[in-house]
Amino acid sequence: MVRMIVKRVVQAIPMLFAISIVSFLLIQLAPGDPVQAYITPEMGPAEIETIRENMGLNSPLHIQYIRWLKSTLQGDLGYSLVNHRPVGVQIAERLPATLGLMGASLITSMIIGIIIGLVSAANQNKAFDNIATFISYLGISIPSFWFAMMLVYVLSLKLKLLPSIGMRTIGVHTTWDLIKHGIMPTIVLSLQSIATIARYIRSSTISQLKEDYVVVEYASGASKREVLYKYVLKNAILPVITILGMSLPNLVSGAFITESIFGWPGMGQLGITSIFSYDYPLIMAITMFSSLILIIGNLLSDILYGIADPRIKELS
Amino acid sequence: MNSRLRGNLKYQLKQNKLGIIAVIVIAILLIASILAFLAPHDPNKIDIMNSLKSPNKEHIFGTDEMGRDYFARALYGGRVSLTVGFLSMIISTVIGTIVGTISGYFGGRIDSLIMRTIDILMSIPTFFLILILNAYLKPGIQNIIIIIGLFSWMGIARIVRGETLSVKEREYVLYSKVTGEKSRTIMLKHIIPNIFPTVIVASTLNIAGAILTESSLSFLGLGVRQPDSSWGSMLKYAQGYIGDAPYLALFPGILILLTVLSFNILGDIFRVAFEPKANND
Repeated sequence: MVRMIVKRVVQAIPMLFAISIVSFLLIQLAPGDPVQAYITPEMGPAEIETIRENMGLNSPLHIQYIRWLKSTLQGDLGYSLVNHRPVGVQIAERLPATLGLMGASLITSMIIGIIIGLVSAANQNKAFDNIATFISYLGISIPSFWFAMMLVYVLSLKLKLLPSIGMRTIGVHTTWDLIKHGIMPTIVLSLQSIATIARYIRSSTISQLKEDYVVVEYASGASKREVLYKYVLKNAILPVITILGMSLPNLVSGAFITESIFGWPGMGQLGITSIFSYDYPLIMAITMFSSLILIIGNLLSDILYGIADPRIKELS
Repeated sequence: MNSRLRGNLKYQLKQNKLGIIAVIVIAILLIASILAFLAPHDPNKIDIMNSLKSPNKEHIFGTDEMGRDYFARALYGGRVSLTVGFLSMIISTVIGTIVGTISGYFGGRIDSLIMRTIDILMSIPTFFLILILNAYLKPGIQNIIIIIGLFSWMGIARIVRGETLSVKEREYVLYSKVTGEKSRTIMLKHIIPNIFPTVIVASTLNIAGAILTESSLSFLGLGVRQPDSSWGSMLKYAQGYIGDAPYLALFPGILILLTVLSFNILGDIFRVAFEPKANND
C-alpha cells in the first residue's frame, strides 16, 4: 500500500515540472512587454533598460525559467502587476472559498448522483428511470452559465429567496448567511457531476445485478431491497471513486465560470479578472494551482481506489 | 461503414424516439442557420424606438436593447455557434485520430511518450488555457476554432489508441505487415477505416463539447466578440437585462441546450449502434 502511494507521488513529479514549463511559457507567449507595468512617462530609455535588467528579462529563456522555478519553489510567486500585492498571499486568501465550493459540490453530487443512479437501475426502463436518464442528458448538455442565470432570475429576482451575488452579506457573519449564498453556486457547479455520476452508477449497478452472486442471494430468499442495498451497492459504488477523479476537471473549469457569475470570491473569479487585466504573475500562479488541485485530486482517488479494492494493490 | 453497422444504426434510431427527435432538431437548426439570410428582418438593423420589445407577431423572439430583431440575430448566432462546433471538432478529430493511431500502432517508447503528454495536457485545466490564449490572441472566430480544436483532441486520441491496439492484432494487418507494406499505408488503409465508427461516436460528442466551450468563452467575453455574435455572446448581453427582458436570455440558452443535447443523444445512439457490446442496458 505504502509502496503504491509513494510510486504515485513520484509519478506526479514530472507532471508538475511539465505543467510549470507550460505556465512559464504562457508569459512568454503574452503580447506586450511586462516592463510596461513599471514604466512612467518620465523615464528615459536607459532607466527602462535598467528595470529590464533588474527583472531578469535580458537573460536567455532557460535561465529565466530556472530562476522563476527557484523562487516559486521557495514560495515566492511574485507580485501582481495590478495591485502589486504578493501573488501567494492573494491566492491563499482565495483558496478557502474555492475549496469550500468544490467540496460542497463534490459531496452534493456524490449523494444525489448515487441515489438517482441506484433508484434508476432498480427500476430499469420504468418511468423514474426514463425521466432520470433524460434529466441527466440535460445535466451534461446545459450551459452552466445559462443555468445560473435562470436560477438567479427565478430564485433571486422573482421569488427573492436567495442572494444572487457574493459569499456573505456585508455586516452579517452567520453560517446561515454563508449557506444561503452558497446554495446556487453549489447547485450550478454540481449539476454536471450529478448527471455523470448518476449515469455511471446506473450502468454499473445494472451490470452488477446480472452477476451470479445476485442470483444466489435471490435464490436464498433475499428481498430485492436487501440485495440492492446490502450487496450490490458496495460493488457498484467502486467506480464512483474513479469518477471522482474524472469529475475534478469539470469542477475546476466550472469554478471559473460559476465563481465569476455569482461573484464568489475564490480563485476562479480571481483567474478571470487576472486574464482581463493581463496580470501575468497571477495568471501563471492560478494555472499552477488549479493543475495542482487536479493532480492531488487524481492522486487521492487512485489511493482511495487502492484501499477500496485490494486487487489493485497486487497489480501495481 | 459496413452494412451490419448501418443496420444497427437504423434499428437504434427506430427504437429510440429521442434519437429521431435529436436528428430532426439538428437538421432544423442546420437548415435554419444556412438559410438565415431569409429571415424577415436584418439582424443588424438598429431601431432604438423599438428596443426591448417582448416577443410579438412582428418580432417572434422580441427585440434586443438596440431594437434589433432577436430572431434574426439568433439565426445568425446559431450559424457562428454551429460553425465553431463543427470546425473545431474536425481539427480535434483529425489530430486525435492521427496521434492515437500512431501511438497504438507503433507502441513502445513513442506510445508512452504520447500517452504521458496526453496525461499532462489532461491535468491542466484546459478551459483556463483556452481563456488565456483567447485573451492574448487577436479576437476572431478563426482563432477560437483553432484554439478549441487544439485543446480537445486528447480524449479522441485515447479512444483511438485503444481501438488501434486491438485492430493491429487482426490477421489482415499482420498479413500486410508480412508482405512488407509501409506502416503509413497499413494505418491509412487498414486501421483507420476499421476504427472509423468509434471515431464518429467520439467526434459527435466532441461537437457538443466544442459548442459548450465556445458559448462559455463568448459569455465571459473572451470568445466571439462584436461585430460577430454567437448564442453565447448574445447571452453575455442578455445578462444585463435579465430583470426587464428575461426572454433575451431564454431563447439563445434554449437553442444551445437543444443543440448540445441533440448531439449528446446522437453520439450515444451511434455508440450503441456501433459497439453493441458497450451498452446492453
